[in-house]
Amino acid sequence: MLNELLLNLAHWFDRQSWSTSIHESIYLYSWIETTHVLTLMVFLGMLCVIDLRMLGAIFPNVPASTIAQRLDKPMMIGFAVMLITGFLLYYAIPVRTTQSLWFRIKVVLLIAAGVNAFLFRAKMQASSETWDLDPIPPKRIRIGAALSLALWAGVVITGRTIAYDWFDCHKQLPYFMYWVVGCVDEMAALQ
Amino acid sequence: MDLYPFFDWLDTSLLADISKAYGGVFAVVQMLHLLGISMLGGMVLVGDLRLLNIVMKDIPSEVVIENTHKWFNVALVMIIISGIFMSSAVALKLYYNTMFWAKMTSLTAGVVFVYAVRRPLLKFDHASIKPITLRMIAITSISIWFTVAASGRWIGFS
Amino acid sequence: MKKETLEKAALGFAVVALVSIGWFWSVQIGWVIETLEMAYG
Repeated sequence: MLNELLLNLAHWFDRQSWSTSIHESIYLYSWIETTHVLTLMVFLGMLCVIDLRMLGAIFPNVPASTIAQRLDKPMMIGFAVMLITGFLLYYAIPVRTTQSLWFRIKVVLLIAAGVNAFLFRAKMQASSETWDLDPIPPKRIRIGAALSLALWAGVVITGRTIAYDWFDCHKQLPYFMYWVVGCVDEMAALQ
Repeated sequence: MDLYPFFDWLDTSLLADISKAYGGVFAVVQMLHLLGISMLGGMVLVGDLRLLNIVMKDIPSEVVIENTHKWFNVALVMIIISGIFMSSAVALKLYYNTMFWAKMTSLTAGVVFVYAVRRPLLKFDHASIKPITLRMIAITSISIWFTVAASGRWIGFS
Repeated sequence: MKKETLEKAALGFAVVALVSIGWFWSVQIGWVIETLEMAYG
């Protein structure tokens, strides 16, 4: 099942010496994590400006598509750094991360945010001639922007709560939670 | 001026009772702090990169600075309020933490720089300001806010 | 405030800030290097 697959993948990464090196190093993990958090200022910062324009809350006299295009490159550079540092954080501590409720929710929200962004860009390109110059874009665009900000806020909070052990496998959890979190061994022990 | 009495008071205040007792509340407030940092970072970067002629070159820099300033203010308020809440949970520990004071120093410098120097100066026509001054303002701004954020994160490791 | 005064203030502030920040991070990097040398020789 998916839980076994994800756990096997995590164990495979865990056995690699570089994974252990990062995890046990004095500074490297902390630096990667710090870069990950600080790069939020770049990635989410740019996204914030773009979404605020889509909500009609900033740069009212600049075409929305112009804002989106001009800030796209710095935003994607930020996103690339987030992905790389994020993967390295997972790679350094793969088993606990895989079996983290918050990490799983974070990945789901990331995918949802990605889908929302893709649909949003398509919608924007299709209709931009009609509302591009309006200080306040039409409702469907504003909903997309608000949804974008909400999903990314969710990504940020779940990312932060990964560090808490409220739902870790070593805790006493109901069987259903073991399944959600992927505690394969604990589920087997209960059967 | 010894701030110990203030931190001692904060450590046992009602605010501290809440922030220490409810990990979930603390996490949500910390998320607001992070979102505030993202917004502040975005507003600072867009403004400074424009002053450095790196982004949005076809939009007048006066327009960019004016528009980003309003949301910079919103972000700063979010950050300060959430920051005080989180600080109350570990007030005395922070009082003895060097990185915390590095962060507070750079934060104060940042706030003074923005409101007493950068904003008043950039209200003038940018073409009438020496280009080197504009570049120095941008580089200083980025450096200060980077230091606030980095030293802030490093509090957690020290 | 006059523009010229503000320009001078901006440059002065910038120099002080950048020197201080440069000093601060050099000290941090120095400590990191020291710790790494102690740990890994």
